[in-house]
Amino acid sequence: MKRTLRALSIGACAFTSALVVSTPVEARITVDALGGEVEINGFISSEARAHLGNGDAYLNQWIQRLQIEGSANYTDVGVFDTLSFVTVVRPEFDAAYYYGDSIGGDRGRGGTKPSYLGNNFNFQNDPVGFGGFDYLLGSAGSSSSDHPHFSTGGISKFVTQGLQDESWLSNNFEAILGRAANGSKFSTASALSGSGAGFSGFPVVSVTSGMELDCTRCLNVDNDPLDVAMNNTDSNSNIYPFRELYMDATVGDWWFRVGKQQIVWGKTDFFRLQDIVNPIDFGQHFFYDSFEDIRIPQWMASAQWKFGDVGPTTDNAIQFLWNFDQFQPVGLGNPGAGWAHPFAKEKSTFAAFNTFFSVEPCLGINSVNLPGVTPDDVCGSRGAHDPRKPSGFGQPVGLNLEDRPDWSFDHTEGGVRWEFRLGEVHFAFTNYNGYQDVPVFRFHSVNVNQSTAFGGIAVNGNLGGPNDALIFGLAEMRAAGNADGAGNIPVRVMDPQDAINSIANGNGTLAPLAQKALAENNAAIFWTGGAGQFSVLGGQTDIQYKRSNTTGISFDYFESYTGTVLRVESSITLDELVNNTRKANWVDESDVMRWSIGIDRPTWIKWLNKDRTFFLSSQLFDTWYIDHQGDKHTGFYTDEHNFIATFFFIANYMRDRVTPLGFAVWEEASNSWVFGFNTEWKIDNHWSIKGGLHTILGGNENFRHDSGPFSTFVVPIQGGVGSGNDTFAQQSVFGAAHQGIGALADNDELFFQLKYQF
Amino acid sequence: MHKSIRCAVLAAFAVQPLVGSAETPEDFLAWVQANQSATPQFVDGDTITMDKADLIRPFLPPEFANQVIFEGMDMKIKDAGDISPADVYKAATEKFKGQATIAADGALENYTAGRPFDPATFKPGSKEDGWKMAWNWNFRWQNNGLRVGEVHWVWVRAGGEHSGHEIMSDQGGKYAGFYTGGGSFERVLTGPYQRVMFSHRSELVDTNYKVNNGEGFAKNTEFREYTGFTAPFDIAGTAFLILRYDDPRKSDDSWAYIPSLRRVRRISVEVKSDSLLGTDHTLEDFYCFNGRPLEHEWEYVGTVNMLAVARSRNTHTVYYGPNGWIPLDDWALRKMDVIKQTPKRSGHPYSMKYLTADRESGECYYANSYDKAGKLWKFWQLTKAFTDDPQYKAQNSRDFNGVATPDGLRVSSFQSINVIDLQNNRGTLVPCRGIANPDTELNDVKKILDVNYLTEGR
Repeated sequence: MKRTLRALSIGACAFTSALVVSTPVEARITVDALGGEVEINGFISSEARAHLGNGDAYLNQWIQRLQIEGSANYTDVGVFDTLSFVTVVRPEFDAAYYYGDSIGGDRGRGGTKPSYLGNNFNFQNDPVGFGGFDYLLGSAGSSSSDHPHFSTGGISKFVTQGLQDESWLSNNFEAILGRAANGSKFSTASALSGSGAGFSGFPVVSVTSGMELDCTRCLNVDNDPLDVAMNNTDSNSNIYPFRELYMDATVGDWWFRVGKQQIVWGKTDFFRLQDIVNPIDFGQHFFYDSFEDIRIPQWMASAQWKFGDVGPTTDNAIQFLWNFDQFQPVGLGNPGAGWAHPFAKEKSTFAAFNTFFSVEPCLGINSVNLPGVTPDDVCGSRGAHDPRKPSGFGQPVGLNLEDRPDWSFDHTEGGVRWEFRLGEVHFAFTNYNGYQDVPVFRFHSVNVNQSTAFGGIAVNGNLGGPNDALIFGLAEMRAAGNADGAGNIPVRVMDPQDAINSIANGNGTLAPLAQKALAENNAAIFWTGGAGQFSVLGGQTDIQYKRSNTTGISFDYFESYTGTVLRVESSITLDELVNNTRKANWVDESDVMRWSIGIDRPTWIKWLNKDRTFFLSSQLFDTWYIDHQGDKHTGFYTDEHNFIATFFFIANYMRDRVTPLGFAVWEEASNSWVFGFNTEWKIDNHWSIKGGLHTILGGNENFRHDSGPFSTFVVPIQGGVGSGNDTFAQQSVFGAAHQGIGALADNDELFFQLKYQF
Repeated sequence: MHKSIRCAVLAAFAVQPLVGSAETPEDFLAWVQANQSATPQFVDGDTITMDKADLIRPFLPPEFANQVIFEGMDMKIKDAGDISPADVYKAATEKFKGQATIAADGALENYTAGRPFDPATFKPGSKEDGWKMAWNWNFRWQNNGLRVGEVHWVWVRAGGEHSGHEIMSDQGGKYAGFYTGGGSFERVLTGPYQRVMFSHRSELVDTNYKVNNGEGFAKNTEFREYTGFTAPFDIAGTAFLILRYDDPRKSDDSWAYIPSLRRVRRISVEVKSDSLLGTDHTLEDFYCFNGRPLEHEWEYVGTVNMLAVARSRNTHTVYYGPNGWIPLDDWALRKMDVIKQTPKRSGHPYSMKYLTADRESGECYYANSYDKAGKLWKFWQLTKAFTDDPQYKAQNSRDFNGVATPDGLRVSSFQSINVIDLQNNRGTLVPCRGIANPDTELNDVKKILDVNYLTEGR
């Protein structure tokens, strides 16, 4: 099968290359057929993107793309004045990913090197993910073989127990987010020492392959590598490779469009305020590609009625929209893909924790002769579907569910847009009721350490079963005659809020801390303050989406004296689901207002080009969390206001055949910068080449953020709200989120595209 | 060797007086001056070839003559006949004669329909008559307005040839016969165009000379203009919509649909004087001049007798010549008014532009522009067809998305506009096929000239 796939993919690549270098075929095809006019056009392109960041250059993506746009057009059909059937077909193939081990710099499929965000997966870079809690039980060895029999979690146990070889680790995993408090990446076990600036953040293991993970309904975490290479991911697999397929019709002043399509609202570039109907797939190429190319088309029905003048308003049009597609969130990419968003990698981290750590431990056959170990302890001894793994420690941790709404009529989405002119101002009002497309992590359970949280949590007297003890060394305990698991850490799995309430109501040593957390409505006080006593040992999350209503208004105006177009857009979402680490389960709601002001001006810069203006555009965005709670390191992972400024220019030379374009984006909260520059040369009506670069400069110390119930695993413990020292050293999923755009730093790239359009 | 060079230099000097200098506005005005006393030495039916080229030089601006005259030229002289506007326009001119006035800022006031001012009274050098001529130009006889089923925007560079360009074989070679001669083609853009006049319509006597009595979609509107592009793929779907208000003091509203954004973008007036998608045209250069008169200063220059393709014998423009940018057609000697246009905005790419307008039809056949240094930059040559001619009726063909033009309109209609950039040795040919001045229903017009129509693009 693999050979067949390889042959097919090589064939596809060769076919693409052959087309790209072939003799041009006739331009846009328009013929009378199918009883109407059939029009076909499109392009074929080959784009190579070389990673340059972090001092490491390699071919990150090499995408061969064919896009065919076809339509059959009719006039005066029944009640319709015009009727069209339209499709956009776009198969593609990323050769650098699929042949990652050979041409992709040893990344991607089959590669052994880490991605832009990661380090090699080993004990030094991720002690917990690699070796579990071995480091607490003995010397902090640097090899998986230093702790051959402990069952404290850690994916390397597959190797030490003889179930996999060393290459399995490098082929499938990387360590991400391993940053010290001063922002530098650490790469040695000295991170464990806690001294100076080298103390630990929270390095986590991420999956780089298409490995199947135990994460129910989770999108894009375990796509088949060929699907990743073909961009046939969960975000884009809806009748792939048909990106769009719809019917267009006009009847008088009405316009209808039904099918898989993109509907664009709003007036902003780079970021979306009103343009929320279709989710965006940021996992393909961040936001560098046109939204046209990375919007995820949805099955929708749209009807627009142009009703002319009403009172002082003119050019009125109202659009009704029904999105009856299965809910689709924003795409973040497969974690192994070249431009996977950090959040996609973290998602795989949490899914991997659920896959490898949550289950009960087992041992390899090489351990069966150890004292106390029984044949039943051997992995696989319970049959082909033996759920145990050598990496497990028996506690539910990580991500087990992406709780997406199922398709039902009640879960479909809808909106309305009203556009009109009032004098010289062009207005648009929108209202969209649908599910937020940005995922929100929720702790639905936490693992409370009964031995330290005593007084509030009753000790379970019957340890030994799943999810009631953190099993610290299956073989060793058995060897010591503790076959029932005595000596392990007793754990109770609880609802996060119930856990804090119970401890606060008890008489344990952590009760005052829990009471303080409740009094101040700040769960972070408890999670982090109690971390030194190992009060909470992680927990299990799911991903939540919530239906909400977003109302927007925008207008544009041309100011004739300065020759400037002014664009203003705003939206407000009520009770938007957000993450707030001060909440016990990390979930909160807030009204969110977003606004943007943009100015556009074609400007003559005669000394640079006397024949053509430069198009200059600047925008200022603000996202205002009206019910914001927290500071830089706890609570919302964003500031109350998140300001972003953008600027871009487009120039044209040689009769628009040479088009330089540059842009800059600055995010205030994370102090991150993104710069891009590219130039396209349209050689003739068919051929064009384009090259450019993108670079991201990360912000300062924006990676630190409360890691909630996982605070215990951040070693060594350094400060925390509860200790009176608010210097947070922890880094969690929200550390990356708090870095904003800067989280994708170190993925600088140089790209080159060859394109043939027909 | 030295002898050869010397001979060449001598030959150049010998030719120079014939070619004439064409660098500055003064050169153009010198030609205008010389033209006043020129007497045609050709008659109707003559064919001007290279050996007779001197006969026509006085009747062509020197920079234009340099392009029209070449070895192998084939210029048929043919009188255009009566190409005066329709009687309804003449009647409106007569009815409202003497009513229109020019305000201090140049705005046209008290105007209803027809030709606003009598050009016979204009005096060379007069600024006020310059304004009057500008408004005469603005309100020339256009009936409903022009519709073009398929516009080609051909980027041509002097020299070379284009037989291998795909446009020559596109759709079974149906365009090959239109592009004879030399010149190397770079890109070719394709798309439709339509302008609809909403007010000061001489034929709409019963509705106050306005479409729909100036209500609803036609309210406060002089015209709406749609310029679309369907190929090549990288610009397919791009469209511009301009709304010209009936209030001459009010700036245009302009929008562009950008396919890569899938949304309509408000555009600045600066765009109208900028190169249109890399062509040598600007939106303001359409028809010779398509801008707002009040954004410029005007001066009446005088009249000239000039050769022009005023009534094409062809259904579609046929190009020929060494650079493939001269129309192979019938040329008529026409009396034209000349005005000088000077942009008010310092950022405008032109320092000035001369426009010509046919005294009888009001249409423009020729214009030239100068860069900020006052050096001649571009000239425009326009080929016109008469709507009542059978070859014009043949435009109503499915081949080029044509529609019918009613009989008796008597509009000197657009067939092509061709701009030559003399500084960069290149040009943009804009042959229009499937042209018409169709009857338009308001409901039909709204479908494509409403800004919301642009959002229906894909």
